[in-house]
Parts: sequence; structure tokens; C-alpha cells
Amino acid sequence: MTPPGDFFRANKTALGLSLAALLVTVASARIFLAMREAEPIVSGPGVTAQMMLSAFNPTLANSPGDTPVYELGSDKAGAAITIIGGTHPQEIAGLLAAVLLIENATVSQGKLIVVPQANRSGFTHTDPMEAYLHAITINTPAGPRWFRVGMRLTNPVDQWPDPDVFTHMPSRENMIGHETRNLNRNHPGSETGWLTARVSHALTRIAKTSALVFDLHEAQPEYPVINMMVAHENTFETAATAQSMIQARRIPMGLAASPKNLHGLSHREFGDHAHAQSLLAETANPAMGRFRGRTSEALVVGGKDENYVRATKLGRTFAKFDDAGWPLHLRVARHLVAIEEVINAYNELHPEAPVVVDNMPSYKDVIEKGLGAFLKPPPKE
Amino acid sequence: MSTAELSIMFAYRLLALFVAVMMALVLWREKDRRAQFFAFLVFIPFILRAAGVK
Repeated sequence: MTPPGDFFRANKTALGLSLAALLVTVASARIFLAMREAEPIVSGPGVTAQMMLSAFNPTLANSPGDTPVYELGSDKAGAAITIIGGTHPQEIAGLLAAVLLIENATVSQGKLIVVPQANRSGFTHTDPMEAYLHAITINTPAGPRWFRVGMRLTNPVDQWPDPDVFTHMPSRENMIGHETRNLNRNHPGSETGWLTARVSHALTRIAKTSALVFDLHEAQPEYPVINMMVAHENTFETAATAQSMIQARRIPMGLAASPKNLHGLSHREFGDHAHAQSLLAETANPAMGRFRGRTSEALVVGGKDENYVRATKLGRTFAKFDDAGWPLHLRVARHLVAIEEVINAYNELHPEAPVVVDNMPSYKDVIEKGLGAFLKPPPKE
Repeated sequence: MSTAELSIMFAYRLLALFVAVMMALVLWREKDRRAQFFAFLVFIPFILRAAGVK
């Protein structure tokens, strides 16, 4: 029998590569597992109840899809409005706008339900080959706060494999296979399906208790549906009223109708299946675009990219880019003004059951003071 | 998640584990350093997927 020393001497390369494989595997596993830690969100004075999404679909309990749901209630009867952020976790203005509501807003009539990280699993990974940041930092007067930058789809560790063709139910519309992990192609979801469908089912249950659902998104500047709201036909009056009020404040905002044959999206299915008024807002995020340079914090938070300035000059973008860029605080401010005016429009059209929200950070204040001024101090470890 | 979906996910993780084990064998049985290096590269993502980490 060969002595162990001779065996390892004869297989030096195999031994070396095995140790290297072990080292790389452990090091990368630590990085991937660290991405499962969720950013702290501090309940503000208006939060009257906090629960997990599994309260609306118990099969989500202790699963990677379970996510916090914040309720900002009041003693006075009124309608409920739901705000959803983080449907697509790399569209961070949606998450941040929802967080600013949770940490600042109060409700004096009716109820506001806020789901800041709708696809919680999507926050635990990034897009392969895209060299994305894992997190961003925002400075507040009391210290830095960090927020996760995730990926559009559910983490494949939690839902895998993708089918070749994803058939949306109940419409039977066929889509590319990976859309099975896209929360905004799964609505109205399924109580016992794959993880993403079960998250969607729970959100649809919340939508059924709501008069209106507003889903916050971002898109690349070369995509035509940016700086725009997309509304279900049952929401046209509310959305058009809100749009005119936003435009009157000299904030450009488009409005599009939800296509009736494009299924699985919140603005289509919450209207069709939950019978809630439903709409979606998009802001222009250069960190998501194909023309972008290095995906640095300056791009993700600062929204600046010289390639997009050039692309604008060549007429290749649907939002104008100059040296000021499209910083995160501007995109969050746009979402907040859209929420404010949609609630105002809803109240104007439904005076019998309004939702009165106070202390929401205003567009002007967020532009002038930045996001840090409206974030609570970081919680102590 | 239904039993069928869990079974599919479990089967695919087993496949990933199978590939990782095969790569470990290649790493130790091959004498060609290029083949050993390729096995090292392939081993890492498959063992991470089998373990449910990435």
C-alpha cells in the first residue's frame, strides 16, 4: 500500500486545487449567505400593526418568501390603500419610497398597508454577470443606513428549476421560462404553487381588502414606459386626476392603460381578480440600463452616467439625461408625489370613505433635503 | 410548495451534487492539469447549488 505522504506528493496538483476549491467555496458561500440578511426598517409613529405576509398565505411561514407587512391605521373608518415596493428588488426607489412612508407617515382616517420588500427572496441575490452592488448606504444625521440591492427575479436557490415555457394561470398566456420567478408576472398567484406564485397569492389577498393598490417600479432609461403610471381601466379616473395634479406641479408624468392581454402584472390582475383600483409607477433608473458604465454606488445612488448623457444626445433614451443624472432621491420623490396625488385623487372621487395620510415627506422636501433627512436613526445592533 | 414541486427541486439539487462529485473525481483521477483545473472551476458553482447556497 502507498504511504499517504507518497500519495499526496504524487497528486500535488489535485491536493492544491482541492484546497483552493474548498477555500473559494467557503468564501463565496459566506458572501452569498450574508446577502440573506435584510436591511433594518424602523417602524415610524404611524405604524399601528406589523405582521408577516404569511398571515395572508400560511404556506409562506418561515419560507424565503415571507416578508414584513406594515399597517398604518386610524380610529376613523375609511378605505384601505396598499403600497407595494420591492416587487423587483433592484428597482430600489420603490423600496425606499415605501420605507419613507413606514418611517414618517401617519394616517388620520382609513388605513395604509405598506409592503416594502414584496419579493423578499429577490433581495437575497443579484443578477449573474451584471456586477451589481449587494447594498447601498444612505447617510442620515444619526449615521449611515444600508439597503439591499437585489435582482428582478426570485432567488433560484428558493425556486428552481425554471420551466422552458412559463404558463401564467388562469390566463394560460405563455411566457419565457424565467418569468416563473418574476413576481410581476405571477399575479394573481396560487395558494400552493411555486414560491413566487404563493407570494403573489398573499398580495392578491391584501389587494382584495384594499380599495386601491399602487405598485412602485423603476426601469431603464431606454425603455418607453418610464416617468409614467400604468393603470387598470377601473382606475383611469383616479390616475388621470392624479396625473393632471402632478403635471400641474410641473413634474412630468405620463399615463398609460394596462394592456388587457398582458397578464400577470399587478395593474392588470389586482384590478381583474381583486377588484381593487390598481396602478403602477415607473421611474428612470440608469443603473438598470444596457448603456450604463460601471455599476458603482455613484451610479446606483447618484444616478449619473456619462454614457446616458451621450445616449440622450443621440436620441436613444426616453428620459433626458444631463450631468445631474437621475439620482435616487429624485426617483423616490417622484414615487412619493405620485402616491400623494393618487391618494388625493381617490379621496376627491370617493369622499364617502377617504384615506387621510399626514406627514408624508413631500416631493420638494426630499429634493431639497435628501433621503437621509427622512430616515430614522440606524437601529442599535 | 406542493410535493411535486419539492420533488423537482430535490431532484435537481441531487443532479447538481452528482456533477460536483464527478468533478471531484476528475480532479483526483486526471493527470492532465488543464482537465484538473476545469474540474476545479466547474465544481464550485455546482456544490454551492447542491447545498442551496447559490
